[in-house]
Amino acid sequence: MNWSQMIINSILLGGVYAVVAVGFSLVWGVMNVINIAHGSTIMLGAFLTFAIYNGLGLDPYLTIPITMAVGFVIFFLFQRYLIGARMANIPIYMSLLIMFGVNLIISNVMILIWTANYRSIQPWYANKVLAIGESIIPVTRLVTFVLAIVVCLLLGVFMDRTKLGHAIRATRMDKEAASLMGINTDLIFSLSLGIGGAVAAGAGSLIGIIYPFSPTHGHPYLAIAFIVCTLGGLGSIQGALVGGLIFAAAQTLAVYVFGVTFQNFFTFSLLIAILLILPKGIIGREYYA
Amino acid sequence: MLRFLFQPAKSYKMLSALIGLSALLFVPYAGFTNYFLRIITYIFMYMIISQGWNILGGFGGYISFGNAVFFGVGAYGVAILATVFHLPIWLSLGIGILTAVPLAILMMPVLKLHGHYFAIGTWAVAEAAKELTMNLDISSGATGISIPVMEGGMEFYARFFYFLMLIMAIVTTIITYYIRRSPIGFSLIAMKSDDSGARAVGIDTARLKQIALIISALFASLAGSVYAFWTAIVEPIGVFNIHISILMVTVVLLGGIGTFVGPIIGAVLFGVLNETVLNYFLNTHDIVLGIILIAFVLYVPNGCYEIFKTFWRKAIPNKKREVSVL
Repeated sequence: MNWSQMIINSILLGGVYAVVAVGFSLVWGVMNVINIAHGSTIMLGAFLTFAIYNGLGLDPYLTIPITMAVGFVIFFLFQRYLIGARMANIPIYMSLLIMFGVNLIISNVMILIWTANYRSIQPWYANKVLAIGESIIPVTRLVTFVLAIVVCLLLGVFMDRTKLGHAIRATRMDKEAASLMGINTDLIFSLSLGIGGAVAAGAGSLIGIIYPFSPTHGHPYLAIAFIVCTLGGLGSIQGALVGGLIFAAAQTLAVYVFGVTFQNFFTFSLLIAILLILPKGIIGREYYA
Repeated sequence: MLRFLFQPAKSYKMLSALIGLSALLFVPYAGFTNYFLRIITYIFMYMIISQGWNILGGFGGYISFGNAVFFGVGAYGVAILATVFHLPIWLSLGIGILTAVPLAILMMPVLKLHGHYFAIGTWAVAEAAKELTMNLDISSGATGISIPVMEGGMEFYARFFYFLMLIMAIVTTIITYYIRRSPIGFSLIAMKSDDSGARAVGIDTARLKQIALIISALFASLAGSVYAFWTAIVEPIGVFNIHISILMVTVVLLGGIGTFVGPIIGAVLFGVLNETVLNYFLNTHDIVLGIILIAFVLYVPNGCYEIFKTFWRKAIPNKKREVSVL
């Protein structure tokens, strides 16, 4: 095993993990809602890319805006017209159950349309690699990594520089005070869930190009989102990037030591360990609940 | 022992419970199909696991999303005892149920977490257990373990497990009834409404949560171990599934969270609902269940017990009604 290859792999993986976590982190930070449907939304993004690529022949990377729009519309409409202001006031297990219901619906719809088989997307450049010394970098992984970072940074710019982003951050800090300043917090909630869904679907498109996926394969990604959020702190883009890189490095090392069969076992065990030992993460932000 | 006969309010409840129970004893001999018996047996199973969940989640307010881990450990416990060590059914049931206790003790650090973190922590334990059983040799990996089907024909088979689940359901219901009225039950409810307040009046909440977790685990593994013999196959995706954990939450939610009768009403309702949905919408089963789940959370958040109670109060006005702790 050459170490430079392992380091390259874990960095490339870290970018993907960061983009898996940012949407989840935004929803959790702003609404105090754990989006259990996050994993299946990622799978939905992958399947949409799969369908568009196979049906229309559009390049998989060009489908990302479409899948993001679909993810946004689903979650925005759901929160805006079905749940509404109730989401802020119900006990946590009820919001968890609502999102679990959404999870059931999304994964069942995917099974109906695309069956429960594992699929993968094979564009013409799927097998192209770049060689640097002894290490190799698959082109798809590199492009996915770059785009994942771009999505994270765009979300960061949106939150830091735009008026809407400021309104979302104000709502996260203090809902009552934000509504006194004339912010429509119900709309902000819907937008946050919508953006969370959009980023998840976009992450799904990126993941679908490099890994196989199936309608019920969302749970490991939910765990990854949770781990990265806990490690990096809620609602911060930098936190998600740092958490993603650290977790990817830990996972790459664990797979090297214990073998690939125990990869998911390691993910979930690490999640429990982090919850017990580092509940405030590495960056040390205060958390909700 | 027979004190209840002389207390009008109690004897009324007791009598109706006894009549209901004796009716249940005759159900297998009333000429129903085995399919019907199977549905009722499932309803008993839902009752057992949701009563267990309700002790920690409903009374104590610690919402677990991973109680399936105990169900699965109970199932795998008896499966391994019966196939690898060739123990007879009663012995493996007895030992298999207890396998949940060491696991609950191992899980105790998770009780330090609150709210979302507790829910996700328990979910992660269940998923980790699933991954582990899928990759270990003793649990035969993802194919699972087949237990030899009992001798005696289909009729006997259906009735045997009907009565086994019925006895388990009665036992767990009685235990829950007494727990609810014991210091443990009241302490759990005190802890749910105010954790630090409960500690201030001298409740050892850490110990309390551990006791509640162990009871919860025992109930789930009880159901799981009977389920293993009943279905005669145990596989990781089947028994450690998050759907079983969520099923417990759903059943309790349908009936009424934090009430003693909630899981009973909820189990009947969910059993009927689930079977109807499976009959008419096989392919869209999860979609329909998801919609029902969301609708219930939004429109009937206190469960059906609340509806029954309001009807009951309107139908029979009673000034001398005792304070109900059900």
